[in-house]
Amino acid sequence: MDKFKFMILVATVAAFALVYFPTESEGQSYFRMPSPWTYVCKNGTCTKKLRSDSTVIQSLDTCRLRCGRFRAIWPRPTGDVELSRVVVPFKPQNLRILPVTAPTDRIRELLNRVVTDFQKNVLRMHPNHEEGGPNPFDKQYDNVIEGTVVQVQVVVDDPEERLTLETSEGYRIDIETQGNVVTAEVRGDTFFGARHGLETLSQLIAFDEQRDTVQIISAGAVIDRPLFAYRGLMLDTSRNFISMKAMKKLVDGMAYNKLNTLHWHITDSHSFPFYSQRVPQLTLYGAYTPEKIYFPEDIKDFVEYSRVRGVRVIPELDAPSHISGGWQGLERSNAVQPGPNTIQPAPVSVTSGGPMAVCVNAEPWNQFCSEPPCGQLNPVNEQTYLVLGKLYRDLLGVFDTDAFHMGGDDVNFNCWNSSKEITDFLSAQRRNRTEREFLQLWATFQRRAYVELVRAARGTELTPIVWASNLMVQENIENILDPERYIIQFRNSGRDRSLAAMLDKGYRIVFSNRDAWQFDCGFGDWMGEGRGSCGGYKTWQRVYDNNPLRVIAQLNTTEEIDLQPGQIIGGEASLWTEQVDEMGLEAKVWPRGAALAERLWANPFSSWRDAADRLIHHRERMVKRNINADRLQPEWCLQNQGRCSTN
Amino acid sequence: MNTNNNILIFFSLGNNSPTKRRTCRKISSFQLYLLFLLLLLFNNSIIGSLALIEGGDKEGGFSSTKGEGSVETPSVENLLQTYRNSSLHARQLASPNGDDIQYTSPWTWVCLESICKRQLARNTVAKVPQNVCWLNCGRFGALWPFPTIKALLGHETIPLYPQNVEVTAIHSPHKAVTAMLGYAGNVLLDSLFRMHPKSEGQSAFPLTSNGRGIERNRMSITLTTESDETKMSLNSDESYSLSVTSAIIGSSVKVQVQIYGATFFGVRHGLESLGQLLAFDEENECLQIVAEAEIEDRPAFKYRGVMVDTSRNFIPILNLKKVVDAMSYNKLNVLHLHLTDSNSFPFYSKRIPYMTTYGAYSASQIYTPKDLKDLILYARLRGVKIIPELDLPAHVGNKKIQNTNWGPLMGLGELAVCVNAEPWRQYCGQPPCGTLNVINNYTYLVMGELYKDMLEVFDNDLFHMGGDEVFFPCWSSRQDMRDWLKNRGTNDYMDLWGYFQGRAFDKLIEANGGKYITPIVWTSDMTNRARHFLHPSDYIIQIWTGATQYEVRELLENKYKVIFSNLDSLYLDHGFGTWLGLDHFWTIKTWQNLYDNDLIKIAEHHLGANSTYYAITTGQILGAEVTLWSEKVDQHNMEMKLWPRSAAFAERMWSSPQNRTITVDARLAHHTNRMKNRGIHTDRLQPESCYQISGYCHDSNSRL
Repeated sequence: MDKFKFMILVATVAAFALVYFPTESEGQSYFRMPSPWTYVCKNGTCTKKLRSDSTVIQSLDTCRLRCGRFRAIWPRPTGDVELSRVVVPFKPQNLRILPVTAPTDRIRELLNRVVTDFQKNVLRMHPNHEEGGPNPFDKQYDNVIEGTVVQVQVVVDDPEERLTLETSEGYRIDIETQGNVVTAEVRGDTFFGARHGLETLSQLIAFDEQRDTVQIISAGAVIDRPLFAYRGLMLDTSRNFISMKAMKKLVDGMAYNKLNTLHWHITDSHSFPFYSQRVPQLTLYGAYTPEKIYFPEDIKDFVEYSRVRGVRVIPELDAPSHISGGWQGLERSNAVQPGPNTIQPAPVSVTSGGPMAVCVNAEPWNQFCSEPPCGQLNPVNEQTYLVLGKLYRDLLGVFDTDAFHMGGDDVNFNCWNSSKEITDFLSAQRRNRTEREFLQLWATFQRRAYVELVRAARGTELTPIVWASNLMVQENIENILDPERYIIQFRNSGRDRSLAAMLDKGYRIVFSNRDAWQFDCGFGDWMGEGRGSCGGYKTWQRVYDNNPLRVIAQLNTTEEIDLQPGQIIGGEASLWTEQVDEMGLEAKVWPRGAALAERLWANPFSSWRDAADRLIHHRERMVKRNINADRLQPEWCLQNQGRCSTN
Repeated sequence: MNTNNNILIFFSLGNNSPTKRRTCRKISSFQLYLLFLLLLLFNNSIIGSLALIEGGDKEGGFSSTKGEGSVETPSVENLLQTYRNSSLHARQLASPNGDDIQYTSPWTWVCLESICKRQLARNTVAKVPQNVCWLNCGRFGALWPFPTIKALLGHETIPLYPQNVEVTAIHSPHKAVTAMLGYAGNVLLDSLFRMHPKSEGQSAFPLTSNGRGIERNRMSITLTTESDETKMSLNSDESYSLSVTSAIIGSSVKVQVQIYGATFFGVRHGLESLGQLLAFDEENECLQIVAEAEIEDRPAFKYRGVMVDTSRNFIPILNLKKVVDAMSYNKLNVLHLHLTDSNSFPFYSKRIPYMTTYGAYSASQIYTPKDLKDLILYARLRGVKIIPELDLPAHVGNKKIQNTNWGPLMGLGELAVCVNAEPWRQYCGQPPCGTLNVINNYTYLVMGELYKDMLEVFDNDLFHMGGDEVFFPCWSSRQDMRDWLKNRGTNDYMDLWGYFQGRAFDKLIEANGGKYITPIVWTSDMTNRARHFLHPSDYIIQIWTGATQYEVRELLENKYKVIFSNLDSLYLDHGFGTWLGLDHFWTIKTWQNLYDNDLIKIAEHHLGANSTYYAITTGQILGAEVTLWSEKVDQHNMEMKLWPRSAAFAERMWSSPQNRTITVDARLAHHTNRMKNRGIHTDRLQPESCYQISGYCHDSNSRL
């Protein structure tokens, strides 16, 4: 076609496009608020009413701020909450953050970063707020609002900068108003307490629709501390990769709920996304793609990001089961290096005991592992422990943690039994191939792996965490896995009586019972025709009502369980990612993670019914802060509280 | 040559104005475009100054990027050498010495038994990225839903840059259709630029290929239709044929694409298929297109719908547009908006604005006519028709609060009854309650005005009248209703409902200027036992009961046209717990449930094979629709609940496959990944390892 014809064609298309596509100028003005509605606080909930029928004119946000025992605070405080019903409108520009009182420069730096987030969250309260956009409060208000100042004073005395199981996370907030100055003092037991205090303070501020600005409660005090030290979420990044960006958003969401532990199930048999400097072969052959790798500097940055948000990151290197991604590469090429300048990996030579990983990708998989692809470490190969030690050193070099998850779930004895090297090893020691001997083999593996971990920790105190398994219910297992040291994460059904045996042996327990606290359930069978694994979707109501102490009390045991103080250190919801990646991550975690958070922070006697109104309000707040939380109810229920429940 | 330059300049112009999308929805980009055309006409020298710099190397031609089946283990040095050579996906690592360390994938993909599988790359053969492997693996390559008449895909692929792809000719009998085709072509061209993972809406493709000659390859597209249809109806023919041929001319390749569609909508589907014959090649940082292809295709069912409820929770227009985008990737063609319900009334009624004032959740949660017209046009250009639903006489409420001042004040009396009545179980299917006061004449007046408002905005050939879940105890709780029945000499409230339905239908026709319009209603007590109120030649029935219910058989036997939304398979909102209490009854509908929801088998269950053949060929069974009721849905989680399950549904409706073979999992995983790359927040069905390694993740005995 010649050029002229072509231009005619293009011109025709363009000209008709002009006619056929509407312009933006044909605007028509539609109604604007004032809306005909107001919200009235009655029996602790906000009720929608016609303005003409009410003396109080206020938006839902304002009502929630002034209504109920816990107002809009989530999770509910455990100490005294005495707050005035009087609110003071102010503009965010008049928020004066006084220089923080801190014992060290490091704490001061951390607090200043928390304060920055706090200010950002106040700006996000405006419905027209856009991330990176102009300040929607940038306008002239009346003299009263322009003259009102809110001062925030943050005080921390303790120099502790690392969250451990012993860290005190308590805080108190005191607010008072004198003339046109509101002063809020947040005093934290530690940096982490102060951070939680600022989170609560941000929940004592809400948008004021009438005045188009924000408002704060004028006077009162909140005293608060968590009831459980370990309030966690587990994220699996092996089955599907989750980007650092999405993980940071997850930590943001945890911070809004005062959850304090992210248990990072970083590797599994599906992929090995952790970049190991000492054993880079694992990453080369184990990562899904070159973009789907966590590099040391990424992780360090993430750990620091999490610390500012009060979240401790605990890595898990699952062993001896749930391995494969990458391990098969160790034998394939001994000297693969990512480049000339990385630390030279010591050559991994297969001397004796066969390959380090056995039954890799074995089929039929259900004979050799709990889910495909199969793979299990070889406990009789000395190299296995060397490589583990290197990995532990790599991990401890980038994480800053007081606890380390060693995995230890789903060990398949048939897999070991199918490996000639292992059976030879047993017969050389005149041991037969019974379950008892394999348990012994496993226990020995666990002990040796722990030795490697301690060695890698170079003298720093490190608490090992392992998944509950039938190893822990063996007689005299206390001699190998010291109850003084080990924490056990319990993930069976809450009705499983093995829990009682572990408690009896004196192990400390993290609750992750799958009948309530497994968030990936109910989305169908990822490899077959079933409707959903682990008994279906766990509703937020079920998540909320899962009181660990009640679960123990309801265990049908013959003897009474004698709980030691602090033996239940907390709980954790797990998100295994067979059917999750960052597209669906947030909807699957939130707001159920918020329900978990209140259970672990306050462990209330009451059930979800008393929390429902606050939770759906809190969900809206999370959405305003850029978290794509799932929707629990029609908006009608948010506006007509207390009317959407049945018995 | 010059024509190519025109296109190039157009795109470089787009790149210079990052705030405007190149898809030309805004008029200003057209104005700029026209301005440039004028400049071109009068000043040819601009072309020279903006033209691409040709690659310097004389080495021409192209090489096949496919590796062969078996693969041997490469030596480490060679592998590393390969990594260093590849630039795009190499991760730069800072080392202690400040030197760069690069890290790339050791894998390549090979098509084995119709599935692309991962293997270790050999250094002697170029690596094949997964995307490229899929292009012509198996019978249907990366096409989803698969073509129904013919699909022949060649074994070669041609590397290209999107700058060198153009729509060179549009043949249509009407200028409006030509304009629409031009737009649809631009949507495709735009998507090609976005295939680059770093595009962010701007071109990130290189201009030259350092001597490999990729920039010399051209592709031209011809679009043809003989129909002047601009609005989709139930009679629209969506069939199309697509051919791709390649010829080596000198040191370059010219790819010719011909798309012929029975209507604009057929051509658009052809363009979608063309987009699926193209993929991003990360090794060479270019696109690859299947060199030779021959496709003939038409849908098995006319009506392939998605229903979104915008009343229980509001869904912004922007997010509805994303639904339309994703539907167009799956050749789904009807978006049914359940616009209003007892929870809220987000539709802005020009004639009765009080409905919106009192019914909308807030001022920012309203659809204005302008918003909706914009959405309708946006959807039409992507082959999607929008059908509104005004659900009556039940499922009304908060828009008509009894004691608000507007109804009685304007002398209209009570328009709705049992509004927010408690205990709700006695008066309605779910709170808040509300049913129309069907014996108030003003109710019909208001309805007529609402119908007029809606028909001014939406197409006027199909209209969903709702009609589900009428609870008679609501009406029978009132003396005036009881009197009405007594005066008519009946005690069956169905007569009252039938009276209402007749008047409502008349009002709808009247609002349509007296012209017939096809109403759709949900299955209900009326479709079950009082079908004489609904004549089969007038009404389409949307079935939401279970597929094996006896009622379905009766509807089919009585020659009703039907759309299936059987809740045992097609309810996407099931499985996330109840919004009302602790217990929950419905489990999730998996993608397999959706894929296996075969309307032919359902009809055979009721009618036997012969009558089913008749019902299908006469179009009595129009198709099906997935429903996303929004009690627990809003814009923040909608996409993961819709996709990729609705994609599985799309192949069922378009291709009507005989069964679900093992390759479907892998093809769906690939299509899901493509949707994700196009910006749709699809849920994940499996670990990525299942996608990369393909094959081990299938256990037909699994019942997790």
